[in-house]
Parts: sequence; structure tokens; C-alpha cells
Amino acid sequence: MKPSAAQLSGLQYELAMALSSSLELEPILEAVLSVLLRQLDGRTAVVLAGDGARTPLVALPRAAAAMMTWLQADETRADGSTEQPLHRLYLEPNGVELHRFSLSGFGVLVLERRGPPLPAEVMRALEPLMERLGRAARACLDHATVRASEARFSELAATVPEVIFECRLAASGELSFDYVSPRGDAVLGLDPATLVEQPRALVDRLHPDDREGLVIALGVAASRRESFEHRVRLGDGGPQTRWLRIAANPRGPREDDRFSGLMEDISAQQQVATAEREAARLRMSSLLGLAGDAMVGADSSGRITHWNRAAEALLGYPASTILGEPLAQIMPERMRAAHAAGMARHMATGESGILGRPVELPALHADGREVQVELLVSRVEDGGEVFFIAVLRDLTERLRAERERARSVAEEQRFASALVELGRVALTDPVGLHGRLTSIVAAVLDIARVSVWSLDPASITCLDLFEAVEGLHSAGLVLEEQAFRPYFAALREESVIIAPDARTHRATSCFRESYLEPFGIVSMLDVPVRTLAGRACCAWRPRSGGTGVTPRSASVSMRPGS
Amino acid sequence: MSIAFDPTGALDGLRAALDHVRGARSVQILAAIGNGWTPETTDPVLAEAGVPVFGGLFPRVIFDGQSHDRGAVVIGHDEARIAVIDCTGSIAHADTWALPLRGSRTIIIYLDATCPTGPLTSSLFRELGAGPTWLGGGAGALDFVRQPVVITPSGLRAGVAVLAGLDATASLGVTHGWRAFGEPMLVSEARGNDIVSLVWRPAYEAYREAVEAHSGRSFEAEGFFALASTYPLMLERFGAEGVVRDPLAVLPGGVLRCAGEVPSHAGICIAHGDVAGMLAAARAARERAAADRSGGTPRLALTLDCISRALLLGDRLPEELEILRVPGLAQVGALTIGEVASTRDSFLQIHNKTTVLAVIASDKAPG
Repeated sequence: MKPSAAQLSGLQYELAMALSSSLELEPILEAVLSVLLRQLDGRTAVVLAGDGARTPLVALPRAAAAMMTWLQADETRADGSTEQPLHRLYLEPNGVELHRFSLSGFGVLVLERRGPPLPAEVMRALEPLMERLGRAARACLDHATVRASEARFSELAATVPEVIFECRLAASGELSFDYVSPRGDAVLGLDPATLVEQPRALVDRLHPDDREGLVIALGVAASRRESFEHRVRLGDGGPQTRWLRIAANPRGPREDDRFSGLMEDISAQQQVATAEREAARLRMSSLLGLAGDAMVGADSSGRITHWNRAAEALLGYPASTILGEPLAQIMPERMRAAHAAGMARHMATGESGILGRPVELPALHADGREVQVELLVSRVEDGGEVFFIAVLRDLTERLRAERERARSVAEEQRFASALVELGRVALTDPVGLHGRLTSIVAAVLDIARVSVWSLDPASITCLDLFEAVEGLHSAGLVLEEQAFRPYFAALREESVIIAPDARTHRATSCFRESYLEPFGIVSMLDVPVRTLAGRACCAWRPRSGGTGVTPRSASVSMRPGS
Repeated sequence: MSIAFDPTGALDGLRAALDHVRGARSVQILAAIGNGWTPETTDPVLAEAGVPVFGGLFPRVIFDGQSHDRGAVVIGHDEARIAVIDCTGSIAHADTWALPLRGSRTIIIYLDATCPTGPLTSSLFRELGAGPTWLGGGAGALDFVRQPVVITPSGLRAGVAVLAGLDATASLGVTHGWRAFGEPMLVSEARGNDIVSLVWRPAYEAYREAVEAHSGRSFEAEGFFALASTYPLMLERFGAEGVVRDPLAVLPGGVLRCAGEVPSHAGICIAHGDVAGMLAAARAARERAAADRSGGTPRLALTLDCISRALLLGDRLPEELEILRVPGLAQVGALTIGEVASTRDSFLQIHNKTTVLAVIASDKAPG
């Protein structure tokens, strides 16, 4: 009897619902087979996977797996064509119908029944559902593969000692977790779900000194989308403090800010490393102790690990008090933030603005003053640990000498300027030459009285006397040889008369009562002034040091020379 | 295979019947629920049999063309491998109960009619289907209160099914005589034996509308059972007679409780029948049983007829039982609450309002 459209729809609907009854392969197949067996009054039904070697997946009843023998025979009978019709009917001699449906890309379904032949409409109604069953079965297998992978991952995540995580990193260094494996509880002391909801909880559990460094490292990794590895301490530094290694890699190129990685408790390794570091520190200390320069060592966290005697002498901190302290302690307050940022950036990226080249900067002495030093920082790895060794040289003496040199140069420039000025005056104002000469010499040498004299055979005549304190010029005084013979004798014998103590000098003591004492003059310097081309032209250089000339109490006489 | 019938239903009568079949290696007991047997009084008597026993307490028992609301039919079998399954939840431990039954040609099953049937028949078919011929029925009273009604080797039990695997063959005739009308309705939701909704309407509402339209009668006027007993539901099959589901009661929310599982998303029709149809079906059952001879010498005609057919047939029930008699064979059986029947060529299901006639044949001489 021809089935009605409603009957066929009912069959299709029930099978369709069976197809969507589960995401698991076996329940779906069993549901479909049950519907087929009931609706078509089947005897057995079986689904086999694969196109070649058939593997029974579900058989109703279970003993129907014995149909494999028949199916193998069926395969043998096949004409070798890989194209199998969607439905094939075999009529066995004992009146049994065997309906073989190809499940596209998956396998075959075979239904065995006896009784009145099924109408062709029923088979046609089943064909699209067999197509769907093939697709559903493949989807189930894919789903099963994914679930198996998830199960393996879950097992792995629960058993490996590391915490596996997926996170998002903002360029600001802000961290949020998409997934934290169950080991988070044991390693971090934080429930993974809590960590996903409150990622800040991880940072809050870190040692305060390590927090900023981690945030910077995360920010650098996020902005560059590159792998990062960072070691931090969990805890407040007490005995329960543990070391944590955080390493992560960026996910695929389209996943923007997503990273995945591991967090590992490395406290045990860190203990070994600490021992090695201590040994390395001792080796380093013994080496640094031999150095004449001040040398300071620090570890990767910026703690002072080495401090030799020269450093102690330079900055005043005893090694016993400075070791273990942050490097920032020997820096002026204004430089500490930049130092911390630079250190973190170097540890995260390897970049540095100061490694391997001398840098001048102020250091903070134990007494609070700043000491200008030249700093040369090197990175050293010893025993697997990173150290930074800084050589500090005191720049105080060098800077003083440089200042002195600068002052001398300035004075020479002043003399040179004065000479240029004299030359200009000699050329443009010969009459005023003597007055300009005494004024300039008084200013340059910082002397109270300067005078210029013309020398005659038996007398000298004052051409200009400049009294610097009063700012007065005068002229005309004449000194006769007969009154001051020792002085005139010296003029003839010496080109320059230097009298640090003019009152006792053999050449100038003759002026004691008439000149030196009334004017309070204690030293005298007498030099010739030569003229060129009939003009007065000063061509002398003041002698530096050793003249005994005391500013404000010396008198300089200049006389035209021949 | 020896047979005894005690029409009294008394325990002494049972003892006498058991004595009559002594020498059998297992004993099947079909007793009327009206006997009032309890585990306390009955189990010691059953234990006296000295061999494994199986069977049940049914609304009525059948013996030689008559049905009785008291009494017991006792059948001695040459052999039987018996298993008991807890049916109150999911069916577990299949390896334990299925193992002794493997290889049986015939499996007789009696189950507590208050238990869900879907998980049981699915498990039975999965583990043992396609090999043996199945027959049996639901035990219990028409008030559907769970009580110890299944006879097992350890006594009367509630909430279980007892299975007996025989080497004897069984030729089956299974028919019901009901005819579907109209297009199938979608079972949009069902839970076990309860239909929650049909085409997304409360199940009773849709059922009542269709039945009243077809019959011109009213549930309100006649009462649910009077009308529903002549309008069962039917799960259609292609190439085979549909499977009847007997609506037993209306639960709150318009839920229809049936005597057998109704699968969600199946198409279900409303069927109708009359006495003439029932009797014609009984004749067809007898003819099929006679035609389906699987070998061996016929020893017994086991009739499992639905109690609701008896209610519908009324005083014409003996007519049906007479039709189901097989000449030369003792007629024994019971009026059951749901029937189990499946030839080795079909899917195992619970039937309702159906007649199951099994001609048991064995090569062994009667005991």
C-alpha cells in the first residue's frame, strides 16, 4: 500500500530528530537504527565506518555484528567501482531484504528485514536522511576528535607542574586571563576562576619590587607582539616567598593581543641559582677588591651585590650597610625613577643606554652631598646569573683642574684683549697711550698703582701715574739719579726689577721713606716698555707667580725701553 | 511439558498443581491477581517446588477456552534458563542477565506492568534480539498500583521482569484488529509511557477532539475509559501492522498515559475497532501461528490476550478464546496488561490490545 505523504513526513521527521538527538556518534546511530527498526519492522541494523575495511560502530541487536561476513561478501561482489549508489537492495533466497545505504564520506548502514517489500517511496524518503546521517556522523567524529584533544589537554594541564594560561596583554601592560589551568591553585595559591575574573590578583601577590618590572615587560611584549620571559617573586620576601617564571608567546597573527604560556614555580631552581650566585658574588668580590677604582656590582633585580673598598672611600657607605640595598640608594632622588625604568626595560628587552660607555653623573655620598663620577657599566654573566659591574671614577680633581685651565685661558684672553686695545690706542690716540697703559695694567694685574716713566741718562720723568683705588691719573714727577742711585744702577744692570719686598730690595729700598711707606707700597715690579717706530708699544707679558706682587699694595713702574 | 490448573487460587491448590508437574526442571505459573497472593504466604509454597519458577499475577488466567479471575495455571518445562531484571530505572548489568539467555530459541517474559517498558525492550533487543522468539506480557492489577506480581525464582517481586529462555520453539500469531483512521499526528513530546503533547497541543485535548469527531460521542458523557477503550492510539509501521498503544488515563496537564512506551517525534494515529474486527484478528493470529511452524512437536498453545480486549469483548470473550484454541493442544494463558511479541524476524516491542498466540513446540516428549 502506498504510504501517505504524512506518513513519509512522519518517518523523516522522526529520523531527523534522532539525528539531532545528541552530539555523540553512538547515541545518534543507535537512535536512528531504533527508529528504522521500529518503523520498518526491521530485524537487525548496523552502521559500519569506512569504505574499505568495514568497522562496525553500532549494531542492533549487538549480535548483528555478525552481518560483517555478509558485508565482506558484498564488498567482494562489488564491481570495483568506488561510486556506490545511495541505496541498494539485496533480496536473499530466504526472503530477507538487505537494504544497504551509503553514508556519504562515512560508511554504510545496512538494515535487514523480512515481510512485505517496502514501497519505493519509503526508500526515496530515506535517501536524503542517509545523506544527513553521513554528515552528522562525520561531524560527530570531528567533535569526538576535538573532545579527545580537549580531554588530553585537560589531563595534561592537570598533571604538568606548570600553570598553563591564555591571556590578553594590553600595550599598557594590563593583563587579563582567558584560561588558567587547574594547577594555578597549587602554584599561585589562586583559584583559576578567580584569576580569570580578577587578573590583578596575580600582580597583587607579587613582591612589591617586582610588580612594575612585570608590567613593563608585559607592555613591551604586547606592543611588539613578541615572546617574553620574566621571573618574579610571589610573596612579601619572607620565608614563604617563592619564585615564579612567567613565559608566554603571542598567538596567531590574527589574534591581536592574545598570548599563551606557562607559569612555573622555580623556587627550587632559584635556590640553586642563589647558591651559585653567591659563589659568583664571592668570586667577583675578590676580583673587585683588587681593583683600585671604585667598583659596584648589582644583580638583575638592581640589588647591590659587590662593593669594594675604593667605592667605600668614594661614596662613604660601608660594605656592611650597602650590600643588598637597591642601587637607587646611591643615586640622587631625582634619578631613581629613570633608573628603575631603564633597568626593567633592559631586563625585558636587552636594550640599554649606558652599557659599555662612560657616563658622567652625580652619585649620592653617604653624607648627602653629590659626588660627580664617571660611570662605566658592564654586563657580566657568571654562574648563570646576570650581574652589572660599574666602575666609578671621582671627577672632583679633574673638574677642578679643568676649571683652573678655563680660568687661565680666560685671563690670557683678557691680556690678549688688553694688548689689542693698547695697540689700537697707540695707533689712534698716541697722546692718551700712557694713561690707557696704566689703567689696563692696573685692571689686568689688579694692582693699586701703575706708572709709566721716561728714562733719561740721570733722571726719570713720570709720564702717567694711575691710582686704581681713587681712579686718578697724574704726571710730571721727576726722580734724579743722585737721590736714588741704587735704583738707577739697577736700571742699567737689569732689564726687569722684581722687588717683592720693596723696602728691603737693594734697588728700591732707597724709596722707603719718600715713597714706599707714605703710600703703603710693599712690592714693586719695574719692567721696560719698548717703543716701535717711535711709538709707545707695549710688548711685555706679565710674569705669573713668583713676583711677590701683592694686589692692592704693589707699584709697577714701566719705563720706555730702548 | 506438563500442565496443571487450579481454579481455586488457594495456596493449597497451588501446592497440588506444583505436585502435578513435579519432575519438571522449571515451572511457569500464570495466576490471577484475584488470588490475593502475597510474598509472605506464597514464597514458601513457591520454594517448595524445588525448581526455578517464573510467571506472574494477571487480571485473569486462561485455561481451555475460559478466563478465570481466580486460579492458577502451572506448566512444567523440561528446561528453562531464568533471569530477573530490575525495571525500575535504567537497565543495567546486561552481561549478567543476558548471558544465561543467549542461544535460547524462545524467551518468555513477564514484567511488572507499572514499570516503563522502553528501556527494557531496548536493552533486550540490543542484547538478545534477532535470535529468539519473544512472547510475554505485563502482570499486575488494573488499578496500576505497584505490588509484587512477578513470580521469580526468589519469590513474588515488584518492579522486575522475569525472563525464561527455552530451547523449545514458538510459532507466533500476533494481531490486534484495530484500524487507524486519519493522518498520523506528531508526538511532539513524550516521556516513557506518557504522551505529553500531540502536535504541540496537550495530548488529551488533541486526542479527544479527534475521537469525538470520529465517533460523535463524548468523553464527558460516557467517561474516559468507555470511549478510549474503543479508540486506541497506533504507532504506524511501514510493511507491518501498526503497534497499538492503549490510553489508560488522563493525567494533569492533559497528559495521556499509555500501556507501553511512546517515542517522542514519532507519528501516531488514532485507531478504531469493533467486536467483529477483534474476532477476525484472533482468527488471523491462530492462522499465523499455525503457519509459522518452526519445527518440533507442538506441545502447548500459550495465549496472551490483552485485558482491554476482554473488556471490550465482554461476554464474547469466550468466543475469542475459542477461536484461539489450537486443536489437540492444551490452551493456557492470561489476560495481560500489554503484550510482548516478536518473531525472530521483527523488532521487539510492547503491544497493547493485541492477541498473542504462541504454539510451543519441542522435540522432547511431554513430561
